[in-house]
Amino acid sequence: MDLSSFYNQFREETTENVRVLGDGLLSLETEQDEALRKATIDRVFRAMHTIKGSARMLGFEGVGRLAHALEHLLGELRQGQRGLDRPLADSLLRGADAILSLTLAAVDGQPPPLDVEAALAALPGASDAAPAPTPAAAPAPAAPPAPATAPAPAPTPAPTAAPAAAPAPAAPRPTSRQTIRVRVDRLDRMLNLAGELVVGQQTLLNHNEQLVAMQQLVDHQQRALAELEAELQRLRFSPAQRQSIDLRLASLRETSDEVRNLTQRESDRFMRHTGQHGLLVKDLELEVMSARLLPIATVYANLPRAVRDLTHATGKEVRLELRGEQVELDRKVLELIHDPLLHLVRNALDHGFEAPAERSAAGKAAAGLLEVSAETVGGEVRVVISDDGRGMDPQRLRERAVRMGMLASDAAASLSDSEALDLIFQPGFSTAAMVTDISGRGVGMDVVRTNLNELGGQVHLESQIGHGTRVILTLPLTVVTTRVILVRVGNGTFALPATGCQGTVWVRQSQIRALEGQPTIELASRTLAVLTLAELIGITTPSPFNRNDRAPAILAGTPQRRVALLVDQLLDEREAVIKPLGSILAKQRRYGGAVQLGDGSLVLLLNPSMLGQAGRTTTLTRPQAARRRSRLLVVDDSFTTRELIRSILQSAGYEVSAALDGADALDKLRSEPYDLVVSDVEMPRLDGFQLAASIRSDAQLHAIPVILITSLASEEHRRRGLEAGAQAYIVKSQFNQQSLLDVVRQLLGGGEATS
Amino acid sequence: MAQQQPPPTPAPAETGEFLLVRVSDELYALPSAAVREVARWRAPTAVPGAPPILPGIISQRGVVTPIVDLRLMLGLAAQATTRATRLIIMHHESCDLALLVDAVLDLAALPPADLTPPPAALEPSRARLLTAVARYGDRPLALLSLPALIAAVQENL
Repeated sequence: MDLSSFYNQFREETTENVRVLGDGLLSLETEQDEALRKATIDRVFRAMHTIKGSARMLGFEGVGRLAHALEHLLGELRQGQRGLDRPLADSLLRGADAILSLTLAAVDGQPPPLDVEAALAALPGASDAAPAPTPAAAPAPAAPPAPATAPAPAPTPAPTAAPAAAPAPAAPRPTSRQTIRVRVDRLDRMLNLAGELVVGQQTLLNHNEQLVAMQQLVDHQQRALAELEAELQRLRFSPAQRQSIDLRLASLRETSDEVRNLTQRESDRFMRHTGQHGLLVKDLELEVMSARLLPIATVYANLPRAVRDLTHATGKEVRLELRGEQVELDRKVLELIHDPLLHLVRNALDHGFEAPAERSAAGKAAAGLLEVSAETVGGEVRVVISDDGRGMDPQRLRERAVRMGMLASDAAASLSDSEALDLIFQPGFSTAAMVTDISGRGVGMDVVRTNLNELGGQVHLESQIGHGTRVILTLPLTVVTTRVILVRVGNGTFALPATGCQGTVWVRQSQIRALEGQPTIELASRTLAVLTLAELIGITTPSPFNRNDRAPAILAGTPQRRVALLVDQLLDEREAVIKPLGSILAKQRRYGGAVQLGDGSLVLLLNPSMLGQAGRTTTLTRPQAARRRSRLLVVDDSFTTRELIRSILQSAGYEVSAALDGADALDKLRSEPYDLVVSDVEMPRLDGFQLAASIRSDAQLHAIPVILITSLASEEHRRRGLEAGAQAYIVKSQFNQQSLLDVVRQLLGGGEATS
Repeated sequence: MAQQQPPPTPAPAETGEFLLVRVSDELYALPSAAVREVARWRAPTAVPGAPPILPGIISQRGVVTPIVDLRLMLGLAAQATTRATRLIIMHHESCDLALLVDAVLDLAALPPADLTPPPAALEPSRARLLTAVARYGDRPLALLSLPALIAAVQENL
């Protein structure tokens, strides 16, 4: 594995740790408080320990030995075997300086600027600390003060120079460049501002269009003037009048020419400047973007260890090959693929590869080959995780989907092989018959897909029975701009990530057929569920068919089940900078950010996973025999709570109505059928306990489950609620969406809306 | 209005400058250290699914900033926006928000000696948002706690 990508990191880390040592020692000289002193010594010790470990791992032996010696001294200090006097502090500081200059030189591929042996000898107690024999009593001068920057290759003082010390890496890397650490939020802010400039650039181009329009107006005016002149020529005037008119006409023409030339010139200049400005903005954007790029090797780093541990745990033999370590990606992309990549590797180890005996029986090499490769393809990076294991059987996946109740058997049979393979990205779907300790926890394949989609990337899977599986991740190089589709829904404009959409289509009202209560259309011989985007977002607006008999729709959902999302109008498709919504709105999972338009206004970006969910909740379950959407009644006298709960349940795919208090709820329950009631406790007229009791005692309603949500956390109230006949009792302070949805699903008998 | 520097003694509440705002017909003070700028009201982008206290989001110098209707937060009546309506752009621990107030009155230093704890009679939901009370001329003035305000907004989501 190529370690060079870690060199810069090591340089920065060591610079920081040397600083920690320096600061720590200085504060120790004045600090009296014993506990603080101890904490500082611990911190300094850890810093040196880190340097030692990293240096050894990267093969910087000189740095490692020196750090070891310092660590030893600090260890004695920590155990009280040594007091920190002035000479010791000086030695430690000089040792740290030597470490720093050795590190800088080693990272840059330069020969060591100082003699490690001499530096070691200069430390107190060198004889028992340094692992190498002390050079025969050389009059060990103190290590030369380290130059702050990468020094010219200073001649090694070498009194008894040990040639093996600090071997420089074989091929010196090209010119060294200085680096500084920049806080990530600063980079993000810079990126955001660069994005602003791109948007501003758009606005400037609009201004130029105005200038061009002005030119056309002047042209128009000049033509009118010429016509007026011709008209006047035909009229008869006295010579004096004629002269006066000609004079004025000439002046008019002159001014008009000037205006024309001026607008022309200004428009040209403006165009030139905006053109240049545009190039600069583009360059700036690229520079800021590349400042955030890191080699994928940083993510690869954890894989060898994971493979080693897992082969050990499973008794399988697997060789890991990593390729394309130098491929660079935005750090946010890297952050988000870290877990998915690890999961995919675990999955391959756990389910993909056969045991050695099985492999031999199948005529394969006993050791499997797991290859993780990365390459840049156009504006994307493709990461492929491929194994030569047993592969996946689409037929078994189909059967499993039917067994799990995700698909009706005819629907499963109609899936192509690649669509069947895609099933494993469905939530709750796993190929292992049993949940194993290795891959059956935490993230699943659905999370892998969700993570990638949120990045604007994609994941798909190819597999051949007996030959292995390839998982292909397609990632955007950067996350600066994302392709979005702008649509109008009601009075609002919303953006959808283009990667979550498979196309657009016009839907005529006459094409819509109700299938088991769900509006659908036929498209390319497939049945698509028709939903309105307004419904998905949770806004009420008249149906797009109110004005027209056809409406545009976005095709979304999962490959197994596509949905057509009706919108009022398709506005535009463009590259846009996605701005984060900030910490206050972070909980609004249905939005992935906001896009700023040229006029400065914001448009909310719908989360791609929500579009995916549209497919899940409403269509995957649909083919199951005539199951209608469960109808829920939310009862709360607080508007906010009511709407909050309503929106949570709605986005999970339930049909939800609301009632203002217990009495209102009873009216509604008696006039329409409901499957479940979610109610507050404290309400006017009829409270939650009374409501639950009334439902239980009503011959028609007694079977409807009731969930009470309340701020009353006492055991007494919980008991009262259960006595009144509530099936579940959720305390507001412990309230979280998932637990509510879990309880609802449980009470409805499972299987309905997935989350 | 007291214009002298606050005394150097450590005070129970924040010493220093406050932005005095009118919310409905009551006066409130915001710690000016957290105030980035004061902007005129402009129509935000509504966020479907967000509670009424969050009427929408605006882009303030490129940063998506949610508007928090301080009137509704304090349980006061929300009147129509006027020429005096202002958005106070605040920043607190990586949290950006714009507080919707009916008017901005003054920037003033409140000496800690003039501050008293909020009266115990206040309803808890409101009392938790206040750090102290004072007087502005002959009118009562309440000091808002930004962390408490943000916590309350987040609970409402």
